[in-house]
Amino acid sequence: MVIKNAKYLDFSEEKIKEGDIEITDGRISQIGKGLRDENVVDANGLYLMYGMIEPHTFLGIAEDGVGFREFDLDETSSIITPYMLPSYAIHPQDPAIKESLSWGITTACVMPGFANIIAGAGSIIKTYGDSIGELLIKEPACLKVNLTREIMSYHSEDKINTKMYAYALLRRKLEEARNYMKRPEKKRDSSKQDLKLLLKVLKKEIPLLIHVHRREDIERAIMLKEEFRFLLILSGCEEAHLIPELIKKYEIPCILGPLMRAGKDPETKNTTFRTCKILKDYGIKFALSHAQSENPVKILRFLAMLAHKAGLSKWEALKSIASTGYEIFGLSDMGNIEEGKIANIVAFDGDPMDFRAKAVWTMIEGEIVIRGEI
Amino acid sequence: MILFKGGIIHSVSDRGTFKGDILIKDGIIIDIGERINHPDAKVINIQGLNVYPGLIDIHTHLGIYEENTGWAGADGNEYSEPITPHLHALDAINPDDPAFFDAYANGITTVNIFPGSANIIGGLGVAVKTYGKTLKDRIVKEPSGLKMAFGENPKRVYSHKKMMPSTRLGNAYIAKKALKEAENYLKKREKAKKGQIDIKNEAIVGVFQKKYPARIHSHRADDIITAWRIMNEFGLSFVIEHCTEGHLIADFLKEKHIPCALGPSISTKIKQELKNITFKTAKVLYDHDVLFAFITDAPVIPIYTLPLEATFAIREGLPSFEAIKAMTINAAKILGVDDKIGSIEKGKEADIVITDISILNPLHKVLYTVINGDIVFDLKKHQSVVI
Repeated sequence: MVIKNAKYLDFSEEKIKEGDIEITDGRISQIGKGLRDENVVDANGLYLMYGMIEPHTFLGIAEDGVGFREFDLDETSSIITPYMLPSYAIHPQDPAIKESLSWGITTACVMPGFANIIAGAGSIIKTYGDSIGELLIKEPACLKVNLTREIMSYHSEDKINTKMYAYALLRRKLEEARNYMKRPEKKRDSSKQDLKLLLKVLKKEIPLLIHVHRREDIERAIMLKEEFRFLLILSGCEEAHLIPELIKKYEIPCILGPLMRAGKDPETKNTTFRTCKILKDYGIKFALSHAQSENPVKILRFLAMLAHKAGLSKWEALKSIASTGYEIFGLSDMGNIEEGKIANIVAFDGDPMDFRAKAVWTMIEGEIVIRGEI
Repeated sequence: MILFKGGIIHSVSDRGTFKGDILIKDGIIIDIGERINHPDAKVINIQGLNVYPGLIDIHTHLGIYEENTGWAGADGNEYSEPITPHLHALDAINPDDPAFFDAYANGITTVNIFPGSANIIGGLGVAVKTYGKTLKDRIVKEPSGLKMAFGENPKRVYSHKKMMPSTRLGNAYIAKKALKEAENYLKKREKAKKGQIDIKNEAIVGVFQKKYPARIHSHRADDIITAWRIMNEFGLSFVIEHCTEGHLIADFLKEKHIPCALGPSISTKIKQELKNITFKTAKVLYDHDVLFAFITDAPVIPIYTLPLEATFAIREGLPSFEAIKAMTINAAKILGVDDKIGSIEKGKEADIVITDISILNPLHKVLYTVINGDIVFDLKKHQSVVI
C-alpha cells in the first residue's frame, strides 16, 4: 500500500515533510517521491502523525459508562498485589478504547489503579481488536508501584496509615524477591507466583513504574532503584520540576501527569503544565498522560496544546504524546513516521497543534481501521 | 480611570465585535467607542488584542472544595440528611482558595458556587467575583439558586446508609414531599402574618417567590424529565445542571423553555448516567434555541478549562459567537444578573478579559483580567500562564 500526497510529521528532524509512504506487512517500508502500488490511499491535504500513546491508563478495566461499581481497577482485598495482570480484566469493547482510536491514540499502557503499594503489571495494548489476544502487544511491560497518600484513602486504618509503612512493605517484598533469587535454582519454591514479576524487575527484564507526586518521593524512588538495582520509570511526578537535577543525573524517564487536575490534595498542589518545559530544558525524557483521571483519554492531543501554551515547543509537545512514550517502554519499532516502524498513523485535516484539526482516519499496522472522531 | 485603547472588542451585545476603546471609572464601563480620550485616564494600549466580557462559570464548588487541602477543606456535601435547603455555600467558602486565582488568571471573573449533589435539596448557592478585598465585596447574588439533585448521586449516597432515597423513586418522593411542605408552610405563614420562621422551609420558599430558581443536577434524559414533572407540578422555575443527555431531548427542553448549565463535557464516563456525554450537545441545544451556558463544575474539572468547553463545542459546529455567549451573557441571564455583567456595555461592571489570540483557541494567553475596574492579572507581571 502507498499513502500518496502526504504531509507527515517527522519527529526526528522536527519537520513537516512531503512524500509518499509505502507500507508492507504492516510496517513503513519506504518513504519517497512517486511511489507506486495498486492499493493507494490519497492523503492530499491531510497531516499524518504517528499514532499517539497514552502511557498510563485504565482503558478496558475502568470501563466507560458502566459505573465505578463495575470497575476492575483496584484489588483492595490486599495492599500488595504484584501478580495482577490487566489482560484478565481488559474489556476490548470498552467504548473508550474505540473513541481513543478514533481520535488517533493507537497504543496504551493499561495498569491497575492507585490503591495498592504494588498494584500489578502494566500491559501495552493497541486500541484496535475484538479480543484480548488481538489487543495485547506486551505483558508485562512494567510493574506498577504506588507511593502516594492515595493508598491510605483506599485501605482501612487497620491496614495502613503512614507512608513509612508503605515503603517498609515495599522494601520487604523487594528483599523477599532478592533473597529468593539468591537461592540455588533447585531450592526455589516454584509456587511463589507472587514474586514472578518482581523477579523480572530485579533481573531488569521489565522496569518498575513508581507512581509518586512529591519531590521527596521522587528522591526516595531513586534511592530504592540504587538499592535494588532495577530499571525505574517515574509516573505522576507532578513535582519533577522542583527536583530536575536529580532526575537528570540518574536519567530517569517520566510519565507526567495527569496535569489537567484540580481539587488537588496537598501532595499534588504544585501540579502545573510548566513542568514540561523545565524537564525539557534539563534534557529529561518524559511523556504526557491523563492517568485517566477526570478527562477522557481521547483528548490527549489537547494536553500537548496546553504544554505548548505553557512554554514547551510545538515539536516537543507532540513528541510527548506520540513518541517518547514508546521510547520509555522500549517499543523501538514505534514512535515516528520513518522506514521500519510499525504503520500506526493518524491523519488530521489540519496541523495537529491546531485545535480545529480533526482526526480523519486512524491506521493500525497499515490498515485504516476507523474514520472520523467519535 | 483606565482607558483601554485599540482592542478588538467582542462586546457580546447588539454592537457585536468591533475595534475600539473602553473607558472605565469606579469599576463601571462608562464609555465604549472609537478614539476615546480622557485626560485623567491611565491609558493601556491593547492594539490588536482580543477583549471579551469577563467569563462566568455558573456551576462550581470553588472555595468549598478547596484546592490543596484534602479532607480538611472539603465542605461540599453535607451527607447527614437528604434535604438541607437551609445550607448556604457562602458559609463554607474560603476566599483564599488558590482556585480563585486560577480563575481570574484565566479570565473567569464571576463564579457561582453551589453545595455538591449528594442531597436531593443541597442548599443555597452564591455568585461571587473571583477577586475582591472581602468575601462580602465579591458577592454578585446571594442566594443565587437552590441546588437540587436527581439521578445516581443522592441514591448512591443514601443507599449506603440504608436510607431514603435509595432509588430514583425515592429521589422524586423526597423532593415532592419537601416542596409540598414548603408550599404549605408558605400558605400558613401568609395567613398567620407573624408566624414562626422555619429556615429550612424559608430557603425553598425563595423558589416559590421567584427570588431565585431551583438548579437541578440531572444527567440522564429521564432525570431531566423527572425534574420538569416535579417542578411543573408546583409551578416553579428551574435550571438543569450538567444536562448530559440534553441532546437526546432537545425538543422537550425547547418546548418547556428550560435553561441548561451544560457540562463539563471534558469528563470521563465514570458513572452510568454519564455514558452519553458528548461534545455535540451544545450545538444541538443551540439548534433548538435552548438557553445554555458552559460549566466546569470546578474543581471536578479545573476552572481554567471553561473556554476549553467552548473549544470542543465549536469543533462540533457551534458558532464561535454562540460559544462566547455561553461563557458570558447567557451565563449572566441564567443567574439573573445580566443587567450588571456578561457583556461589554456602557453602565455594566468593568469585568474584562484581554487575550492575544481568540479565547477559543487553547493556545491563547490571558494578558489582562479586569474585575470591577481593577487590573487583577497582568501576564507581564506574573511572567507565566497559570495552568
